[in-house]
Amino acid sequence: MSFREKSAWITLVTTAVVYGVYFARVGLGGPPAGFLGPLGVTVLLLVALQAVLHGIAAVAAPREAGVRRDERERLIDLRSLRVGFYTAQAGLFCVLAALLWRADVWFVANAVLLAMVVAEVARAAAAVVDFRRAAA
Amino acid sequence: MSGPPPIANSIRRLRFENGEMTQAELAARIGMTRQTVAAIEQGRYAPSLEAAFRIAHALGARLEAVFEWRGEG
Repeated sequence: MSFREKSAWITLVTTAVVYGVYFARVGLGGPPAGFLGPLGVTVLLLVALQAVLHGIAAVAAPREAGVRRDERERLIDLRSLRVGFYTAQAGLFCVLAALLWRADVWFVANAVLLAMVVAEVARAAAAVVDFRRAAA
Repeated sequence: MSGPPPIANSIRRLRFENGEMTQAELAARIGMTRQTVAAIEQGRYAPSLEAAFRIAHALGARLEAVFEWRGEG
């Protein structure tokens, strides 16, 4: 498995798990999510987890980690970004529709965050699928 | 990445004829990852024209000796 594929797996799993815990605990209404609140803890935890896991992956394959993306990896990046973009569009459209029946600020903030998280998970999952297809 | 490209290649044979060059060695010569070279060699990824020329050059062969069109028309 290449370093870039490991990176896609790390992003997919950590984003899904860490934000999954956040939304399971806070929900969409949730308490105020300031920098030191649940969202701050979630973001810091996600950044720390991803940094540590990417560091481990880079130490395991230092030469690969230092090499620029090649054309297949850039193509996978572009394809997965497109999946993420359309997922984000759909998610934000759902947020707009949800505003018709509920419009308090924390609900909107968490709904937008959820749309972004789902888009990121979709992007990383699309990358993993493309990497697996080429490796199968 | 939507179905295998209709392009056959002789990379594996040519690597063998070039001192049993490994996929990693070929990848390093053409600035690609070993996984991408493996995907090209196994017919799961069609390289760009530039990458195809780089592969042929690294293997000391002409482009048409490395890649062969197997599609319709």
